[in-house]
Amino acid sequence: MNTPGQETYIQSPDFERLAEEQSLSEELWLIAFALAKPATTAELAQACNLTPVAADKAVTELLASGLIRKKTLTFKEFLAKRNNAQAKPEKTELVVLAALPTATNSPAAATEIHSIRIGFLPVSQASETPVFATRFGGDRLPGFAAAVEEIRPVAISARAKAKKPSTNSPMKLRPVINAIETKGGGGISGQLLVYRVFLRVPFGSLYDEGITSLKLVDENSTVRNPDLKAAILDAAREIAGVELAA
Amino acid sequence: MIPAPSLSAEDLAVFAPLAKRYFETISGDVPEFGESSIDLGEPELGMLTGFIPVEGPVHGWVAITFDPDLADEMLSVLEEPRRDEETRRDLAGEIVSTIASNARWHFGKHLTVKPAVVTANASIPAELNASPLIFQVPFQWRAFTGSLLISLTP
Repeated sequence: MNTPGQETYIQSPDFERLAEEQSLSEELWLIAFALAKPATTAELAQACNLTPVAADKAVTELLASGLIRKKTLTFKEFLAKRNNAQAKPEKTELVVLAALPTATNSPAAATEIHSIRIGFLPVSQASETPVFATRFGGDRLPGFAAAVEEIRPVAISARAKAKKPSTNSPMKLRPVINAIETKGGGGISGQLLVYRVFLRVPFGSLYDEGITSLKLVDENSTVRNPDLKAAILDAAREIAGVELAA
Repeated sequence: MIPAPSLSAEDLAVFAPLAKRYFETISGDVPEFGESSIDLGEPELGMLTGFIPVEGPVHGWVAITFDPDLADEMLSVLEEPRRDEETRRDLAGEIVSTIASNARWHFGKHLTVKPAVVTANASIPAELNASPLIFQVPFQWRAFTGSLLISLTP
């Protein structure tokens, strides 16, 4: 299994059709377009100047929208990846390239964004003149005309940051689920409250921790990722009003 | 029934008794609901699934999914002699539309319960997105099993 933040994501095959039906924040569009090529949340976080939690949250929202999916490998790709890993790979980085101003003398138009390229480039090419291309073309993207310096991290509440557990000790998940379920009155209502809480938790991180079903969580199931622990505790408090120690 | 003043996912629990009531009213036998699960990834669907899109304070869909053998049993209860795919699909539509109508009455203006959509190929309609996290409650009616699914947008 991949370590947290190492799952690779990519745009869904029907990205263009789905994108035309969506209304997302500017940050999410940037990340969605960055995923024209596969990237991990860690790479997205670095390229888009986001915290890992914010990148994870953005990926979670994009997964829910259907715009992106988890990248899987064919057997041939797996073999190629395995073989490449044995040779020294060319260092690459995800780059968010500056947008080109339009060619005009108008001061107002001089800051207008023509289009943006986001994607993986070998480091050696990153500073070369970019070829501007998106799957839609910049002029078709609602609200996409943004300068790179305007890219902001997806907001995380100061409270959530403050509550981030300071230790790396694993957190048992079963007592957390039980406490939320009890708060919800037990039965299907209580379980739906658990569902609502976990809807707020980055799905990618859950998957990375090997948690694919909350039904299968037993007394020994733990969460080690500190960001995931913080997200669960934060969601439990905000959604269910359940205060739990890390 | 009085709709909750501040509706949340927990209020969708009402879909379980609504489904229960349908089966009981038609057949006299009450389905038993099992232990729910919350799973990451695509849900396992039976061949016949009726989806009820909901919009409002919560957004997503509720679905009832089952296999043709359950549909055939229900068709025999209804004394319907035909056992083809079209008839089973119509039955799934009837079940889910009845539940949707009762849900509309229950939630009133607090939740928009849209017209039901049926698939007969174990798939989710293209116009509906599935949440990466799905709430699922299995049920057994007579000797047959099905599931109630809830998929909400985070």
